Amino acid sequence: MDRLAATAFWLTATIITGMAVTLPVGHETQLVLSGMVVIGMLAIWKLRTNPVWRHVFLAMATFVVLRYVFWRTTQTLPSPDNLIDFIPGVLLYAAEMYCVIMLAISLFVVADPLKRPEPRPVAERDLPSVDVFVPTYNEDASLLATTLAAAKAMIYPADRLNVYLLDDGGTEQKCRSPNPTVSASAYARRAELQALCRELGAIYLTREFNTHAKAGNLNAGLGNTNGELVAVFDADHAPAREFLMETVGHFAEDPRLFLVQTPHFFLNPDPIEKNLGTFAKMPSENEMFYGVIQRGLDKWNSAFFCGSAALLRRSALQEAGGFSGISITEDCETALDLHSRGWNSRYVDKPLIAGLQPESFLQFIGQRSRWCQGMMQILMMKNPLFKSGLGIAQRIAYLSSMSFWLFPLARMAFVLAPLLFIFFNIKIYVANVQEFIAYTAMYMVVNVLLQNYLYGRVRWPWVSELYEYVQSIHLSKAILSVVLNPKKPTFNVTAKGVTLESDHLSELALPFFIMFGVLSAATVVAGWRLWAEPVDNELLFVVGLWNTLNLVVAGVALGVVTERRERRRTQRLRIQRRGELAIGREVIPVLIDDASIGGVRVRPLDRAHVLPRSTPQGLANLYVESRVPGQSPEGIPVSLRRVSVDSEGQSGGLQFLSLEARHFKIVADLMFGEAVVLDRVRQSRRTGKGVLAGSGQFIQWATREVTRGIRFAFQEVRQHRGSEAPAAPAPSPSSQRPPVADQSSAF
Amino acid sequence: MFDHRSPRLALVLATLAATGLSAAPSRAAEVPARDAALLGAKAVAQDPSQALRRLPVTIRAPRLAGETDSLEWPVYLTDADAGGPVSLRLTYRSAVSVMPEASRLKITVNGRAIEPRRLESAPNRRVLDIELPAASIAPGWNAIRVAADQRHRVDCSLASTYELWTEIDESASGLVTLGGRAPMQTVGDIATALPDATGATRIRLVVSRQATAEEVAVASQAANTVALLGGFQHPLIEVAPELGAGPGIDVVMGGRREGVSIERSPEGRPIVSIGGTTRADWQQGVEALVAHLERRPGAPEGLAVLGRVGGQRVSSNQSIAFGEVGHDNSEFGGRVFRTAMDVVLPADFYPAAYGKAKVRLAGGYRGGLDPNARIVVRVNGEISAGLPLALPAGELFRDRTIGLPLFDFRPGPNRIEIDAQLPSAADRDCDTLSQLDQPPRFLFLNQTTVEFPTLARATRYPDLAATAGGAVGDGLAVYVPHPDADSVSAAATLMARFSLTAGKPLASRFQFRAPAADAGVGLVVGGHLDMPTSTLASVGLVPEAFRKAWALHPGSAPTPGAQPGGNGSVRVSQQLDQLDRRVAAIRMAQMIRPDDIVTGSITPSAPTRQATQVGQDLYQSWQSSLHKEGWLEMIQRRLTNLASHVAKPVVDVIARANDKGIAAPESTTGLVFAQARVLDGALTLVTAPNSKALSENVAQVVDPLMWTRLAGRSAAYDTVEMTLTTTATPAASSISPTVWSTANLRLVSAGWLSENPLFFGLLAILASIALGIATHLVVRRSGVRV
Repeated sequence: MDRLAATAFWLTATIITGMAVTLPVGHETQLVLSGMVVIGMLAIWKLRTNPVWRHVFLAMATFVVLRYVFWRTTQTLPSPDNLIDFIPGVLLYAAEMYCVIMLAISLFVVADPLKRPEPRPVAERDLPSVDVFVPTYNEDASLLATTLAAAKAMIYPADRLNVYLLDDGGTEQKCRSPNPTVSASAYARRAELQALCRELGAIYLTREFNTHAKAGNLNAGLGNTNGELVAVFDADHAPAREFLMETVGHFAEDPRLFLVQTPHFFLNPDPIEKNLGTFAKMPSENEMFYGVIQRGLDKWNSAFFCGSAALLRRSALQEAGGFSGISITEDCETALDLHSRGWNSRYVDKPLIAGLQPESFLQFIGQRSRWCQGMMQILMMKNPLFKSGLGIAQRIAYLSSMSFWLFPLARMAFVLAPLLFIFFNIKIYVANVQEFIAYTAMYMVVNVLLQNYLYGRVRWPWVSELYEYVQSIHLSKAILSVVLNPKKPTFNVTAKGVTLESDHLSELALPFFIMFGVLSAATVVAGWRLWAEPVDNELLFVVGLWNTLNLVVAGVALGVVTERRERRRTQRLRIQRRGELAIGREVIPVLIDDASIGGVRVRPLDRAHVLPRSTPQGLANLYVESRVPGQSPEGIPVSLRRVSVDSEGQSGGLQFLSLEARHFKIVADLMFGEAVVLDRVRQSRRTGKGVLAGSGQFIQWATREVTRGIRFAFQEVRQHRGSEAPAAPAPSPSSQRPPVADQSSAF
Repeated sequence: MFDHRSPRLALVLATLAATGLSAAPSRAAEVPARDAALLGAKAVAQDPSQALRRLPVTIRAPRLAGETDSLEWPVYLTDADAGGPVSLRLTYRSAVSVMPEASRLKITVNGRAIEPRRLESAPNRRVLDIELPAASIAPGWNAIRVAADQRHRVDCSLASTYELWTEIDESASGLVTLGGRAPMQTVGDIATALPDATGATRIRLVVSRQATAEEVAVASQAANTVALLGGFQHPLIEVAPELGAGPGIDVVMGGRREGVSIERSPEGRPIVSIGGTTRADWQQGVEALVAHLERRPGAPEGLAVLGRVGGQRVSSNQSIAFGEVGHDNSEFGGRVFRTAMDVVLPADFYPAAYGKAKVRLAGGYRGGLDPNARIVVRVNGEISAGLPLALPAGELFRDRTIGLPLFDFRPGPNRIEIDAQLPSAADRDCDTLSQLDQPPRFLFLNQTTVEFPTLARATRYPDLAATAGGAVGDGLAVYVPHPDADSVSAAATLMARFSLTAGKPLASRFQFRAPAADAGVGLVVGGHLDMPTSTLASVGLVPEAFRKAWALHPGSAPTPGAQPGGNGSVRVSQQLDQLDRRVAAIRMAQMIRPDDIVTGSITPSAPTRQATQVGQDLYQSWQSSLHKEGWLEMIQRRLTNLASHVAKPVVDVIARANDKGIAAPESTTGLVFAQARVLDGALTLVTAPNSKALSENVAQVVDPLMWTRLAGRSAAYDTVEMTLTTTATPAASSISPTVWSTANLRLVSAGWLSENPLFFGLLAILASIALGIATHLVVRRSGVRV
């Protein structure tokens, strides 16, 4: 059947569905009807895995959603006579319709996520030259060392691989700054990094002026280099050795390819995962995007550049004038430009880099508000619907990626709407409770089923609501500032760069406590009204339940803004490498079975050798067996921290001590030597959680975090009142990225 | 064709004298009370020259109940009546609890208000006589409207308002004129015929014993026309070979004079005579009569009230304001405000859940009401929707919408009642006199409208509600297999009832045989033993079950040949009032089942004309709200409520799937209606133990209140309980859309799918599967393919 016939069939099916959806029937019929469809959906979920059934599932979900939309639009809007009810009613309706449209677009996007096969291998003589750009601003040398070492260690002919460190912290402008502190530190940085590059075999580049932030930095790099392909890694995104082997082949297959994007994989938790303690068990927040959505976008040739972990074609970039943009998310904007010029992109769904993400809530919000504002800028100034050169599917896909960022407005509407009814009795929704159950409740059930079906492995139930809520308050302000001034949004979260050694409340915590207070008050008022009013106000009961749901999410959010102390605990990667531990004069052959940025865990390879209790400082060295035969292994100075015995025998925890540049090559090799290690970790966290189990878990978090949050709030208040000035903590050296190999960190 | 010159009268009187009727002028001196409750009261003896143009029977009981209520009647005055002095007489009784200081009777004649009269608490009858100025009345139809404001003497609770009532004795109320002896002058004077004790107007068709089925058909149409001309709401047709006596009207087929003539018997009973020897002559006479339906005399208000005496006719996308049906703006100071509107929906209205009728309320309420103040809207007696009056400061609304699901309505007459329950803190102190000075609590503006959306036009088969609601066309085949007087009378009565609902005199094709196997649309009337078992079986009845149930009833009297009238003295039973009938039925039942009757159940139950239902609901809800429930109880209750909202539709669906068909009749069942689908409509069957029971029970069932309860696939009338039990139409019954437009088909299919949710679910799933497969095919052929 050719495409035309298939499209005609599809149109017919759509028309029939449309007719069925717009039939006005009573709410009892609607309930039975929706119930049957939901049972059908559950049956498909449990029984059928054939890809056709995926689309049938989505069609069934769409049916219920469309019936809800039809009813909502025709029956539930308050009459325009009463403006007090009408205006909020229309606003809430707009928020809901936004969600429905986003759902429709996202269903289009993930209609058929691609599983790309490996590219054909390229003969060595045909491999193109690759320039690796590592842009940096103020990151630590030790952090950069790991990244540069890993980049240098990538499997590729050495004569065609160049690693460039693009330093914006040591520019001429900074060095010549009238402020002596700034100038001195810029010179010092330049010197340090130049030495590091020499040691590791990378090339140090800097520029005259600090214009256009990272994009300008990258463009300067483009101007000074000439490799055919350009790989971009953020300062803390260390690549696996196989990175280029997995990505370069695609460029040979498609001459019009401008981008191969790979997932961002993080070794440390984001603030929500850290403060809730879910890092090891729950899939990461970006898993939904990188695990499903980018694959869906790939199907429509709309996978976009995410700023790092990508390989690009220079000639394409040059055609577009480099990494250019009028928005602050120039990465997505560059991809949009190139797509509109007829270039293609691909997405490879294997984690090939491992990086670090901001751990404090403040930094998290700062990052997200930048993404939000950038996307809004592109949406307003280069709207993909109207940009010439894009295909229809691409327009829809980009629209989806960008209008996703309007979620804060919708989320705030859903939090505030029940309050209007509970406090002021404003009836912004004209429905009785039977209709509410038959239409709205079934719509929510179908939504939950749909989310779990599509993203169950990569997102637990209710976690999306939490992430949205947690960002909504500040991102709403960000959106407002962009709308008011698209070219120069003024809202910025200033990172004060203060981190404490103990648990404390985030700087941004106050609005969340206020919101929680308001929602609690609303719950109490709703309960009192239900008690005191003898009239059966069932709608109030239902709205009260809705408000309670918001309250639970707000409760968990309190935990999110109560920062746990930064333990700098990073993900351990299970590796299996051989090595030797030299303690004093004793040499113990060991198996290195897991590694992190701070150290490794080893096991003696045979029973004969026993690990001592401790090592005197400076006298232990770990020699890792080299991959390259013939190369004598370099030793890493370590200290034995802990010895324990478990089912497999003795194991010892080793901490790295004062690493030098050359040592970083070994650490990079240990950690990023095999991409499959990263993938294993990613898969291990991709455990789905059923709807009921997930809901129960969420409620558990809520109770736990509310108590924790309130306890800390009282502590802070007491502290504030008790002392004249707050305790001055030791300022952390970096304000953008936390240092990685902190000597004082626990392993 | 007809002649109203008085010299002819002498000839008519002579003719009548020749047939043996008494020539002594006497009106029925005794007009027995209509309602059992008024047993024992005698009519006031009247001056023979006076005539009381009494208030006619309407579809409402003549009872003003509650704190505010109103009734209206169209009353016919002949030219002679209108020429002379006319006064209004109102005979009423009211409850003991009525407080005279605060209670009023407001009377309006043709829109002109008369000075309100104090409403006395009158357990015994009181009579009001009011002179009317000549300008306020007109010859022909006049409107009389009586509204009552009643307050309780001592009790301030909401429930006590149901103890307030005033009953108007229709037989002793009306317009008193001096034209009593005047002969009939115009055809419209037919309306001066008097109803009998039960409120039915007996129209006697005088046909010869040898009348053929075709002749009976023409006579039936004549009777239908007469019923419509006279505005009779409860017509009973009797078929007999001679003139009748007492209240009622005679329609003589084949009189001596050509055309239509009208006269009055010596006792004042109107006689309509249609002359001619051939059927064609009779047909012409009937058509002349029909022409009179177009030109009715009367005051505009009178004609308006006449037009809506069975209910205001509505159609798709139509709204009716309360002001258009005679209501006024009302500032109400009492505790329960009640108003109602009767509407008649089209006969092919398909009642299903595809839309809502909207009451757009204009009015308001004062602050200070209890939080449980609310408006309850009932449709046909069942609660349909409500509106809490919750704002503590009161509220004014111009356009507050209350949605009434169309599912609650039925084809034909419907009643929409709006009750506003307005308790306030002042009621607890209960100083009844000082309450009179308080400002009114509720405002009701008569620009409040009831708006009907686009109605789906389709007839459901089998559905007796559609038939009762008027889905009966001209030229219906009426089969009377055993054509004795009773059976033919019953059939003619049913045709008159159909005509009344349809609003035009229907023609029919009588046939004195059972229908053929493939007969098609028709009505079959007869005793169960008088028709072949195949006929009974064709509508889904089991003849054996009937034989068993009615074994002890005497069969119909045998008739040689197929002739109406028959031998001997088969006469329509004497007029009996309700109570007597009931006693007779119980005696009969006792003969059949000596043990089963529970004594003490003499008081007539439904359909009573008393609204005790509402009182019960209210009382119970108050009782339950007085008990303060604990937290846990409340949450439990609300969760159970929520759960029941989910469970109920499922349970309904399962219940309807277990369709049990028509149950066998009981031995006390006196009448059975059954309907089955045939090719282009339905075959309806009406049967009884014998033809006598048939005519008696049909007379009961065509009473307007009982008639509107007819619904479903079959209905059985129990003579002891006096109730109608119906078997529901199966959900997957067939529907015939009557209008073939996309809009109508869409509504009809929405309605049908509402009734069959499982089917809709299946449709949804299949559509989704198709869409899913189609999407899969398109997606696999688009975008990047690897």
